[in-house]
Formats: sequence, structure tokens, C-alpha cells
Amino acid sequence: MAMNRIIVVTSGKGGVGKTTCTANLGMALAKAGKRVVVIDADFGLRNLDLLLGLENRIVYTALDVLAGECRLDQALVKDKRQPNLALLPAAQNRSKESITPEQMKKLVRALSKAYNFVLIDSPAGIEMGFRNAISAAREAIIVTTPEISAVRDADRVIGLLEANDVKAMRLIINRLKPAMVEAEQMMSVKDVQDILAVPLLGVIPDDEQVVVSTNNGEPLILGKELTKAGIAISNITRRLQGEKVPLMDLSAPKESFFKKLRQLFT
Amino acid sequence: MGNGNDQPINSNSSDNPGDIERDRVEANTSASASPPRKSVKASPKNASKSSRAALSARLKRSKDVELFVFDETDQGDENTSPLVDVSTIDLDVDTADSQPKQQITLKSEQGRLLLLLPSSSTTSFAPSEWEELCQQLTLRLNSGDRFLQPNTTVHLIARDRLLDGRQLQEIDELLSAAQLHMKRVYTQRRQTAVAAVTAGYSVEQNTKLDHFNQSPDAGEALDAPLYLQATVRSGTEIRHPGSIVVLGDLNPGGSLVAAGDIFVWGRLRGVAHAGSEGNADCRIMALQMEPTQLRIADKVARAPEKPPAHYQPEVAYISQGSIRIAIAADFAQLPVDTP
Ligand SMILES: Nc1ncnc2c1ncn2[C@@H]1O[C@H](COP(=O)(O)OP(=O)(O)OP(=O)(O)O)[C@@H](O)[C@H]1O
Ligand SMILES: [Mg+2]
Repeated sequence: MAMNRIIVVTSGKGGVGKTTCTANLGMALAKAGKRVVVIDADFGLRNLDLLLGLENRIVYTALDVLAGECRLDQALVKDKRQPNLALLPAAQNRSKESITPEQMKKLVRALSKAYNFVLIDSPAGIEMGFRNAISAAREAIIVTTPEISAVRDADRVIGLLEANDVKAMRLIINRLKPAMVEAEQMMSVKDVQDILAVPLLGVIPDDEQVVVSTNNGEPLILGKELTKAGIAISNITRRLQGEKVPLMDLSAPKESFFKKLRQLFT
Repeated sequence: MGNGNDQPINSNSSDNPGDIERDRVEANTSASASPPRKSVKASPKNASKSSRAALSARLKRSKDVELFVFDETDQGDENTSPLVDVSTIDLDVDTADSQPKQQITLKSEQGRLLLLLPSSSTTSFAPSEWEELCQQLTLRLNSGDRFLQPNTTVHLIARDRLLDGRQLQEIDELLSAAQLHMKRVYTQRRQTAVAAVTAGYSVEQNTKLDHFNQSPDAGEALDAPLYLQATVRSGTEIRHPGSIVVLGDLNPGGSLVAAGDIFVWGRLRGVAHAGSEGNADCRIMALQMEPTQLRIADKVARAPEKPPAHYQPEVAYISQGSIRIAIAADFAQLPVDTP
């Protein structure tokens, strides 16, 4: 049964991993057989095309569609690796004010007729670009890192989402460093959730491989062997689709080290 | 706890009636039913404000985190219609409020400079359009400043656009920074004329300005080439109804759109579109051709997957219906098909 879902990925604070999450979730959902369109709502600072490695295939942008210069499907960039995935690019040379929430709604509504999932990559901040990004969303994924500043901004955004009637909210905690949490140098998952009080969709550990995949334009989730961050994203994707997947144990390396040690001595 | 917005920080929840009492009851229920540590609980059906408060209360009482568990009703959506083909979707767009693609133009004519504002279907400037226009003007002034003689007179061709005193002053300030002096304003608008007179400029109202109205109609002669000494950075798009010469790099994320040829005396790494009005004979030339994308007339091409071992000046042109790239030194010898 098709339930077309419109999900905005947002954070308040910049650089916490919204675009990384959108690209990977989009790819993972597409791999799982869903028809997915990811929308870059970061006008003027678009990145989603880069992370997906689709930059050189963009001919038209959302603005060209709105200006009547091309049809909606002409602006969609299809992913060769994954035909279920399409990208609606933002304009790079225009400001966030060049599109209105009404226009965004129009685009998103139309796309939701043709795709199971519409994922919207929100820009940082709470201004026009953010308002555009959330205008058509039915669900929101709040991305934060375990830092007070990011959590504070996420809290503000949650308030704004509630005020805008986006009620189905879930939390992704990104870039967690288990060793630092254990040394009580970093907020724990529990600390963050205590403040935000939003159901947890998943925790993604800090992982150098994320940077590598960003630079290659190959979402992590496409890797042959998934790293921990990749597994975390894959779990999140499954939860989004209704599977019950327990949180993975991020402190595992230590334990397995002791296990190995024990094996050595027995 | 929670987000702390709902009540003063010092309030003692046990003194408060109503909502808070109910939350406590809910919280108690779930706390007593809460499974032992390391387990994962289902979240309530709707993540609405009250359920967030309940979640918050549960979190206070438990050492666990609470994982989202999907629930059909979470979506609260009756939309179960089958997917349609996206190519069948016709977006009914209102093109009236889309912004013009024309940019600001500086032309020299009989020893003075003409500054032409882009024409548009809307007469007044939206704040974002105005900001972009000022950025364009700054870029054009900075990147061409070797050719701008100090103390040159500038005439502003405002067409039918509405300008107020502040906007006129803003343009004047940008021009003054480049040691240019705005003297006269041509306008078809009474309101703009009044603002200009008040600000001390001489005004020409209702003058026939047909020869300034660069219309994008086919068959028109191209403008004089636009010469820029600049790095065209990500997010910058330069459009010109003629050829564009850039003395500098075109960075990834930047774009050049020219009705004529494009010549980059540097590295071309962004998007370049020559013959944008449809002229397929136009060419793109660069010292180092590493484009994100090249377009000539209505043809689009991506750079080859493998970059060459070393770069040398190259020319992109259309041959047999597609874009090709040739080494500049060889290009003159190539049999280019001419119509
Ligand atoms: N789990 C992770 N481990 C390591 N690095 C990460 C992780 N997640 C994101 N990053 C890095 O953090 C940086 C910012 O990520 P990203 O661009 O996704 O954030 P953003 O929230 O979209 O930023 P912006 O607010 O600017 O749009 C990138 O360099 C990315 O590689
Ligand atoms: Mg981003």
C-alpha cells in the first residue's frame, strides 16, 4: 500500500549532517525498492548534488520549473546507479528568497504523487530557506550532533515545527564518539533525548568514511562493506519503513577487543 | 525539563493542576510498565506536543533512551493512491512572479557609460532581486575596473522599473566607489523621475529608448563582448547577450551564459553555456578545460570521465550534432562543418 511520505531533514545549526543524511537515506530507501525523490531546498548553497555525485548532470533547477522554462520531469536528475532515485536540484545562483513557501508546496505536492518518499534537505537556520523546506512536510527528521549548541538549535527548530503543524518528528544523533561519551566528554544519546524529547530514529557514529564518500560523490550506503555509520543509516532506513530494529551497540569495538583477549587466554 | 517553554522555571509542578497532573499519571503508568534496561519501547501513536511531554516524563523516570517505532497512524495520511508517472505531471506555474534572467549591463556610448537595469514583468524590485542586482553591479565594476576611466559620466537606464531615492543612492554609491559619476536617469516612470529629481539627478522621462531594449528575439545582433578580470566563483552566474571573455578561472558551481562565444583565459571548471540564444556555431575556449558541464545552443555535455594526463588549451564546438572538444592548436586544421 503506497503511503506517500514527505519528510524534511532539518537541524537549525549548520554542518551537523543534514545533507549527508538526506543523500544516504534517499539512496538507501531507493535501494530498498522505494521510489524516492530528494529535494535540495538549500538555494544558493546547494550540496546534495555533490554528495550524490550528480553535479554534472544538472541542466534545470527547481527555479526553472517554477519559471515555466522546463517541465517538472526535465528538472529531475535520475541516478544512474539507482534508477529509483531522483534529485530535484536547487538553484545555485539565487538566494533563498527567490522561492516562496507556496511555490515549494506546489513542487512537493506534485512530486509526492509520483514518489513514495519525498525527502527535503533543509538549509541551516530558521529563516526563509527553512520555512520553504518545512512548508510542505508532513514529517520531520531532526538531525543534531551531541553538542549543546546543536541541541539548543534543534530544540528551537522542534518548537517551530510544532508551531507549523509538522507533528511527526524523529531524531537522528549524528557524529557520536562513543569513547568520548564514555569519558563523559560528550553528551550521551540519553542526554540529548532528555532535552529534545523526540523519538529517536537512530544514532550515527562519527566516521572518517563519511568524508571520503562525500568527496567521491558516492553515498556511504553504496559501499560494498558498510562501516558502522553505514549500518546505522541502513538501520534508520529500516525503522523509517516500519521495521523494529534495535539500536546498535556503538561501544562494540572495546568489548570485542576484550572478547578477543579472552579468547587468546582460553 | 522538556523544552522549558511551557512554564516558568521555578514553578513547582506538584502545585500545578490540570495538564501536568495528567502527564504525571501517564508517565507513572508507562514507568511502571517499563521493561528493564537496554530494552527499547514503542513511542506513542502521534508525536504531538502532549505525547512529547509524556515522552519527556518517561525519559525522566528511565535510564533508557526511547527508540521510534513506526506506526501506520504516524503518518495520519489518507493518501494511498498509486504512483503516477512524473512526466505526466503538469505543474501549473505562475510565471509572472518569477525573476528575470537578464542581468545588469554596462555599455559605453560616446564617451559615457550607460547602466541598463534588466527589464521585467514586475516593475518594482523584490528585495532579493535588488540585492542580486547590486552584487552583479559590484562584480562588473570590480572585474572591469582596468578599463573604467575615472570620472566617467554614467547614465542610468531604468526603463519602466520603479526606483526610490534609497535605491538610486545605493547605485550611486557603488558607482562612486569605482570613481564613476551618475548624472542622468532615463525612466518611463513618474515615480522614479520624481525620486531622481529629488536626489539631484537630471531626468529624461518618456524618451524613446527602443534601442536599449535588448529583447531576446532571434536575429538580433549580439552585444559587444563582456570582458571580466575575475574568478567566477561558485554561486555566481554571468549572463551576457554577446560573447564573454574571462581573464581568470571559472570555478565549480559558477556559470557563464553567453549568447556568443565563451573564452576563459584560465581554468574552466564550472558550467559554460555558449550560444545560449540558439547559435550552434558558438564555441567555448579555455586554457584548461575541466568543465562540470558544457552547453552550446541546446546541446549539453559532461566532461570525459578520465581527465587528460596534462591540460592544454582546448576548444569545444558542435560537430555532427554533438559537442566535441579539440586541442586549440589543432582546431584551426579541423574540418568544422559549417551550415
Ligand atoms: N557521521 C559523520 N562522521 C564524520 N563526518 C561527518 C558525519 N556526518 C557528517 N559529517 C561531515 O560533516 C560535514 C557537514 O555535513 P553536511 O554537509 O551533511 O551537513 P549539513 O547539516 O547539511 O550542513 P549545512 O547546514 O551547511 O547544510 C561534512 O564534511 C560531512 O562529511
Ligand atoms: Mg546541507
